[in-house]
Amino acid sequence: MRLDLWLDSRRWWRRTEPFPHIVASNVFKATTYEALAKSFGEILDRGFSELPEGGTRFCRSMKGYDAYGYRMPLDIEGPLSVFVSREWHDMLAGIFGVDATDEIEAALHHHAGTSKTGWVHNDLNPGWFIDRQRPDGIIISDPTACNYQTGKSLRADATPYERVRAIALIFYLGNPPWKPGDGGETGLYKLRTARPEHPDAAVPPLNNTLVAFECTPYSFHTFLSNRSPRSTAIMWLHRRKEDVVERWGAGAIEEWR
Amino acid sequence: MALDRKVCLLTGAGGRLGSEFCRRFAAKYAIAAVCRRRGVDGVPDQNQRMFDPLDPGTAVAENQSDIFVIRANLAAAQETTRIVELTMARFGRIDFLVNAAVYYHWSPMIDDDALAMSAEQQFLINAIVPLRLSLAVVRACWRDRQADNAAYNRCIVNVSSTSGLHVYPGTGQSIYSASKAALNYLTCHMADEFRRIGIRVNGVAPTSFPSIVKTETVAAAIDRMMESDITGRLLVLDREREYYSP
Repeated sequence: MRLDLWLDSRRWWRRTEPFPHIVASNVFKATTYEALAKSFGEILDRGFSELPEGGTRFCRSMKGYDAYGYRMPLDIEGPLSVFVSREWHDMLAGIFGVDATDEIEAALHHHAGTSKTGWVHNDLNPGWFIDRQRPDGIIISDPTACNYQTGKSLRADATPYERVRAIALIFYLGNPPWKPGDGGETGLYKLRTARPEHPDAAVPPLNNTLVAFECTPYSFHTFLSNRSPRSTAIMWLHRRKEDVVERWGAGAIEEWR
Repeated sequence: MALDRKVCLLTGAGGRLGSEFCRRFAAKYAIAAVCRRRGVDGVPDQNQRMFDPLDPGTAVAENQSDIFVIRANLAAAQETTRIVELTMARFGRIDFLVNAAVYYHWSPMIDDDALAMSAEQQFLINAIVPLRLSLAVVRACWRDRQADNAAYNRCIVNVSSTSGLHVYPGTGQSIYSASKAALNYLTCHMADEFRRIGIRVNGVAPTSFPSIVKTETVAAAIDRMMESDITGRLLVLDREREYYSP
């Protein structure tokens, strides 16, 4: 995969307020974006489950988060696999200067119209993996082998190990035309105690755009309530836990609620 | 950051016209852009820079045409001094002041209490703030530098409106119109009084943009007034023609 052939805009933005993050529009060339949106739509067309279930369609599986999720499977192929590719991983790590460790957790999210605003959080969470590398060295979280959030082993041959989220990325796709007032933005905040509905900055869910940031104790963000459906591909790169502890202290890691 | 560019202090930079001016002229002028909240979309500043995702460590040429964003609430009188001080600290001088910040509330006089309640704010932002900022720049940077003022062709451009020249019946523009008329007269008096220190003062009075005239036309008109050698004039950009008033 050659990202230079996939990417459209080679001018992305690095912003410092309210915390360091990047935004980019026209991320992929039109044909690539259309293929991504089509793949997303095909999964969406499988329908929704109101209960957690394994793997084939969007379901409600995120506690306290008013969205349907679909975890990208280990064997994902086609356009959406770009988000779990070695090239994408290394590009993001390079942009943020993060010593990322090859593990990726990736999912698709879908907020129906009028989903609730989320809570302000920073994504500096642990993530558990088993050492099952693809040929390119990338390791994707495997929910059949271990629980990503707790590390609980689900197979006799699985030996989970812990990482911490290093970089979060949200890519907007397959959404209806957006205008101010439609909501569904990603709100960004200086403080954890900020009122969610008053973000210091907000990234609108415009198709073929992305927002990404290094997960730190201060990368406060949340989903803002929407009036029309909002769909995203979302992913996290990871780093060694000891690097996080050395930089911010063990207490900085946000255990899952 | 480039002192080879003349320095322009611009208010209302986050608005439609101010943003357009920044996008068009950030390469030409070193712009100190006064915004209420955030910077200008699509223009690099001290808080947002472009980069190439596949070569993030290499400098990007577009960042050379950056602006310096000053977040300020113009309604607060004490902000005026801070704005001028920050601009001077960043660039060392000010060559142009463009007063483009605007506040409007259009509604009927008889039937809407909110109109009268908005009157002070409309006069404040549309007429008094341009006066305050002009005086702050004159006193801090220009009043004893007549030779430099001439050399740099220094001037003030006040962004007015055709509403300051005409009555548009039934549009609820009464206070807005009066505030812009006040700005027009203020522009003429400032031109008269600042002439002796070599500072030109002019206005640009567009009709509605972008619905009737293009926003880029208005931005270009401001630039023309900055580049010109005239003073005490109002460039009117009306539906079908441009002309000077008075």
